[in-house]
Amino acid sequence: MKDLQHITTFLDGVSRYFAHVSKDRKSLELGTPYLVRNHEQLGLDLTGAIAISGKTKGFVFFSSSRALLKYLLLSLGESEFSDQYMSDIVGEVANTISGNVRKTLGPEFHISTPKVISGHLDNDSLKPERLSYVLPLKWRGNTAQLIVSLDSIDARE
Amino acid sequence: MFSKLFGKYRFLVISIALFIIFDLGVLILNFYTSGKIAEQTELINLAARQSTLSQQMSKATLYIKSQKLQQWVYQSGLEELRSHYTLFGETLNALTHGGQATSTETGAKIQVDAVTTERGRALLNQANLLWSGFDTAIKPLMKDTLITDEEIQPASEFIARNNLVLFDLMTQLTDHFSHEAEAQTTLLRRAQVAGISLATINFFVILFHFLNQLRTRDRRLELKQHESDQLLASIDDGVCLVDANLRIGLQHSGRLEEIFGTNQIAGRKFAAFLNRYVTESTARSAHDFISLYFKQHVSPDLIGDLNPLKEVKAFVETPNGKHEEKYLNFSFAPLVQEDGETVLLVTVQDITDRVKLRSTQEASETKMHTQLALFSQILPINPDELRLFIEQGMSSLTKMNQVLKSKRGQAQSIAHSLAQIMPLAHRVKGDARSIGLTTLGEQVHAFEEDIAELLERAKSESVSGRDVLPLTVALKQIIENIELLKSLCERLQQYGIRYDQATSKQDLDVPVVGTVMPPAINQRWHGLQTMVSDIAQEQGVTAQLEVRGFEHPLPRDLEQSLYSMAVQLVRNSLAHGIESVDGRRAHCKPRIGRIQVLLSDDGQGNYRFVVEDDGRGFDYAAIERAIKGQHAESVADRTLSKAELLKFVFTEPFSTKAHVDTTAGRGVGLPLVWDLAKQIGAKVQVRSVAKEFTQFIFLFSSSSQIDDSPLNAKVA
Repeated sequence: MKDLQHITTFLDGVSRYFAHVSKDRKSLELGTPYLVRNHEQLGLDLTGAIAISGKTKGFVFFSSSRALLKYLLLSLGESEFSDQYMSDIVGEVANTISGNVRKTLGPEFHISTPKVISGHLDNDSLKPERLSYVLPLKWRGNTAQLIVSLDSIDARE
Repeated sequence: MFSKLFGKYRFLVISIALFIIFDLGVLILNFYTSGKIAEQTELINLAARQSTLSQQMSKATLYIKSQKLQQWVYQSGLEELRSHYTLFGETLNALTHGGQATSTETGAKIQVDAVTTERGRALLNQANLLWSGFDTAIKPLMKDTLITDEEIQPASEFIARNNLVLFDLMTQLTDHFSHEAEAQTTLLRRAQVAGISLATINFFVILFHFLNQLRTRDRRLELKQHESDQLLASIDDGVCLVDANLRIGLQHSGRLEEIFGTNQIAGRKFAAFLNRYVTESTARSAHDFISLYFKQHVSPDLIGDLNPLKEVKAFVETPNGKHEEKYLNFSFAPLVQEDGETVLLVTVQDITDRVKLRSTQEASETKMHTQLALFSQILPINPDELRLFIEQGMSSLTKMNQVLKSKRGQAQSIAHSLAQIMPLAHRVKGDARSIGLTTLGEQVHAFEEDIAELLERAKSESVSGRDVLPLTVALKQIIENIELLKSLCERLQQYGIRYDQATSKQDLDVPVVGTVMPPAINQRWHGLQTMVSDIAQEQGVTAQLEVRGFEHPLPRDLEQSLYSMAVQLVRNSLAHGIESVDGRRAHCKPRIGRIQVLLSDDGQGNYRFVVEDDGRGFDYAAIERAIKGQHAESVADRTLSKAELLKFVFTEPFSTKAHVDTTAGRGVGLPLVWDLAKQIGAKVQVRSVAKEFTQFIFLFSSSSQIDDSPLNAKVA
């Protein structure tokens, strides 16, 4: 059940970010989590990718629709919605996930600096046959996803 | 006692005492000699004044004589003579016998001791002899202010005659006193030189002694330090001391630096230092824990078990900036120092290799056991049965995932999604157990339990995606286990054992197609007997399965649906239908219960699929009680028809069994059968006579479409 602990930590990081932005702990809604094969098409418009190394390897992606990012920028007092601004904000959410992971799980997780990807994810770095978790998110009616692809030590080869 | 008092400082005390004695000696001698020199100076002055007085007396006498001859006034000369005479006599007497004399400087009376030196006495004796002559000659001049020529003449002559002698004696006495004073000064100088020399020598003795001692002590300290360093360097464990302020001491073993990859250890706060390597909560617990050792009312023996730093995971940064995972064991022992202060001896052991080895062994053993369990379970299974199960299982799991994926979030729909997933899980469980995959069956059973629990919660509160997350994680584990089965089949094939090449990992959205051919189909269906034997044993009944009609090819989807329906119905027969041996005997039935699974067709593509048993039949009264107990709100108090009761049985999750076990009790078996029947477009007929038999008949054709119409079970 390590997967569950890790996913909960990632999810808490995202929830904390949106709770901080909107001053409402319940503003971020989680849909029903499901599974996808890594070779399937993953991700929404813009994605903040965090690579995880160490005992647990894999990736965590915060993928968002442009609409959600616009709302997010508006909430932060921005009036410009350029790609650069949207990329920055996606990276910031991913950074918050990293921070929460470090605080909760300690340095067990070696986390890379978030990388922002536009469009669908490049699956090359993922094992194509493995399953990833998709956690559908909704914030003020706009969609995002938390995609977790982990190869924990107890995962079967 | 002296040695007890001063101990190792005796030499220092003696040396300092001598230094003081020497200095005091010089000081006292200086003081004494200075007094003597002052006295001597006074004597010199007195003697010198005597010389002057002798001359002045001669001068005064001559003045009186001269004045008198000229008949002039001589009174001033007489008074001068008288004053000089008196002063000389008084001083000579004081010098000879001791007594008071008039100071040459102040004019005050001073006490003068009698001169005792031999030379001084001799000169004074001569002066006294001569002075007696002066005394005789001058005394007549002292009695009146008017003097005669007869009085002045002899005095004048005597003084003129002896004046120089007296002057010479007094000059010699002055010189004698000067020599005496010079001797005193020389003595004082020598005493000062001697005393200061001794004090200086003593000072250097002290200095050298202590320099020597300091050097010896430094050497010893260096030696001790060296030995201590060598000792600390040779210790295999990390060792350091922590003081009452919870700071790490200045010395620690070399191993400690190796363990933490830093030499910045000494003097740091223990918890703050630890915080760099372990989680905040662990560091906080460690701080609280070691604080206990410095509380007087806490016994170290009692708190040892509370140590939060046993086998603690730490992350140490390597020189190349990466983090290395280590497992460390900290142990603590309080030590009372010579000054009564308590310090804590901290021993750190790097047990990473041991823990990782154990962890690897455990993981390896767990994996091996799981694989062995699966391996031992799949070996007796017919390869075709296993392949079909894997396909069917993956298909069901894929459907479950699709249900999750399609219902994105609406709280009210989550319960509906779970209700959809439940029969699918039930089917996988039943199918797994039907071919003897008990481990997997138990895993799916646990998954089913979690769904049931969440469904129960959903009745009273809103459930969210976060509540479903554990189910998604469990679903992934089940999928991975079925994939492991595939992998094992492939490995077996590599060893030449005939296991059909499992298809590549199935896409979660793609349905399985194809045809199940003989003999695979026949073997799979006859394999149900194993399940019947196992469940019959669990349920305490005896039963035999008869399977007929599976000698011909069937579309894979159809075959898998029929198989799962048969599994559920046969399980139902064993759980609810077939009586115990005693029960059957009481109803005059054969000892062994009979279950039949039959498939027939009319050659025109019309099929008749029958599952029947000679058990106790439907107990409609019990079903009605159970329905009213579990669904009271929807059926109120009215009497339900058999058709209505059957509708409940096939569509609502309820059971007449009081307890859930791995075979039955959740009430999802018949809804699953109904669902599968709909998928193959079958019409369902149920015939049952209490205490006699139950028969499920499914009529369908190869061209039947999915039938979404409401249940239309026919009660025969």
